[in-house]
Amino acid sequence: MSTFALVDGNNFYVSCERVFNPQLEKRPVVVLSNNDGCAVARSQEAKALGVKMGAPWFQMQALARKHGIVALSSNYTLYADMSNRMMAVLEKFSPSQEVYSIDECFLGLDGFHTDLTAYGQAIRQQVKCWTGLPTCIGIGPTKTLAKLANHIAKKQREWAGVCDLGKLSEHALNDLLERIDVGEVWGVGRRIREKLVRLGINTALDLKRAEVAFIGDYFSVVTQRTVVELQGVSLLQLEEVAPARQQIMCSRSFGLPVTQLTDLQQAIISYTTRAAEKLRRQSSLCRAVHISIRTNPFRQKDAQYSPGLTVTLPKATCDTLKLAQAGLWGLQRIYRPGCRYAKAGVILLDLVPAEIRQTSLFTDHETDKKNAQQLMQTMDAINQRMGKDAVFLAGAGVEKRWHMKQGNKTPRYTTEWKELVVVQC
Amino acid sequence: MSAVKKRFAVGDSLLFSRDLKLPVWLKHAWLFLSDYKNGNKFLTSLSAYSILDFCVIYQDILMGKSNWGGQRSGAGRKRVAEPTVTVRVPVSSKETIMKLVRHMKTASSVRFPPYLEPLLLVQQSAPQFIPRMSYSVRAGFPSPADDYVEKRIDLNEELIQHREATFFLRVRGHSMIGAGIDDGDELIVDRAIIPEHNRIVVAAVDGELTVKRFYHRHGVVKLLAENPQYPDIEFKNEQEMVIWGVVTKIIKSA
Ligand SMILES: [Mg+2]
Repeated sequence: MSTFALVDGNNFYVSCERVFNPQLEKRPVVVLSNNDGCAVARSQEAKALGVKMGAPWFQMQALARKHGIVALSSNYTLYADMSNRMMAVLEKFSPSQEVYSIDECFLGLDGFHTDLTAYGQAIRQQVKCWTGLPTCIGIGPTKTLAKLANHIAKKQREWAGVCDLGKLSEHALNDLLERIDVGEVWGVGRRIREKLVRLGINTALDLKRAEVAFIGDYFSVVTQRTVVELQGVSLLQLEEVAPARQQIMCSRSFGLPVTQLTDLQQAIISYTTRAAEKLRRQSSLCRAVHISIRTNPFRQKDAQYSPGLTVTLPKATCDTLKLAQAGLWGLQRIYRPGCRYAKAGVILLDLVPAEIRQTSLFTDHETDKKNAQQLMQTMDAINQRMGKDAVFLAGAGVEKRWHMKQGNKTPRYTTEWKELVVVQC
Repeated sequence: MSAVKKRFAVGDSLLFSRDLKLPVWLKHAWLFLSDYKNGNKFLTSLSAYSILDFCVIYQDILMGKSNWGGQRSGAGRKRVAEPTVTVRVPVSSKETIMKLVRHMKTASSVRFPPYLEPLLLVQQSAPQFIPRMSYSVRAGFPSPADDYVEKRIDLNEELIQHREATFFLRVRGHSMIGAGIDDGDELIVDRAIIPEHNRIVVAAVDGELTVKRFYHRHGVVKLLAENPQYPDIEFKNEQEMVIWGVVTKIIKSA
């Protein structure tokens, strides 16, 4: 029988901030999305005050003032580094690890003949000590149950942060599942939940007891698999090597509404640059670029316009220049003057692995291609050494009027020498 | 690093406006070069010249040569009233800067393979940790040192025991000068080391991080300053103190 653990950081972004600023301890803290638009992470104290996930920040001003809620802009550079540290510590606790998200990973615990609850506590303690980050751990015979166990460890204090469902009797387990809404089960999204509820399946236990064939009549094989996993039969294996992404997206909201084509062009070039870097990092080429722009749907007085267009490339490429050209060509076609645009996005589609030949330097006789390659490699190398955007396409703009608002961003404590934590002495 | 990046971003505005007034342009170039001369080592294999070139080429490609999307409305930025400044530069740098300027004025056509050659050095100078195989094969002469080629010293390896748990912090204040910790020093702090009596630690006291010597004897916990002008920190009931990490090295500028 398999055993999985799911380790998940508590209020991860807030916890990262607290490591370097102990003053935030015990206070209500929220981290806001790009553009300081809405809450993407909340401390326990902020949750208790009723701040909802995704709540628009401007609606919370009064509450924030009343309770002294600290609102921080998101500092993804810091969170990414802290995530890497956390994952590296966790890696030592198991021969197999699947990093599932920025703050979650599965560990394979097959054949561990120890008290897994104690082992879980040891893991939590080491992560907390080494990185300063608090976590909760769920353990179970399937990934779906481990995920659910994690939810329980988080919500029910009596577990002290580690919940091992594998240890429970069938009866005790069912008791527990009966008290959990079916929407909390991994893979059950809002729409599936609504449909399940209409069919009389309200709790995790109901879903576990559902006939697999019956579920198959109404849902896809994915939901059927969820039922089987809830029953304790492991169908989902650890995916230790992250599969190369099938599409790469970069989209952001602007700090201010944008009307000029030039500003949109800058944004498209900038996002394409970012996406193309990711493309090259996973050694892929892409054959199509999808671009989209949209106005702000919340401003009902404004004329609404949200077009998108996919531009197919004659040949698969990872050359930022070519991709940017394609994106700009598309933009020209969908741009309509007089609209107040709030967001733009670039998606690289139809990805194929780059041939090995194309990543080596001197074997290609087509000078054009070689030059483009060298250019991209050089650009990536410089940006890696001298910092993001040390060299960029001129078209991406210098002023970036449209750039996102980040009013209250903390320093990049762990990745910039000039921004180290200051310690009083 | 970020200084150069920032300076460079200032200089970047030249990307947009080839008709920039000369002295402003000079100032940017000078800022950039002075950074370069101030010993930013990662730049040593590059010349400032080639970096700036790199950008010019990009502009040519994007704005001029490859004529995507037809004429771009609004592409010509309004820089009519660009103010000018006079810049003093050391005589020794004058020639370099003038060279750059001359180049800027004439660089209208895309010729990028030759331009990029100097930049390729960046790639080639990537750190080489694997000892090279004997070059006697290539050169035909056996080198007496071949058997002794070893990996160059890597400070990350020497100074950091637990990579995931190690952080750099910067000191402000004078309370630890007796322990050799001065204002402005950087500390290497390892959170994986158990704080024992007498070690120098970073502690969170009343929401603030502070560096002190950790006293832990007979159930008494104190944080000791190493400067008679500063008080030790003793703890009353209910006051909270958390050891954040143990200081393992002090980095100073000579
Ligand atoms: Mg989490």
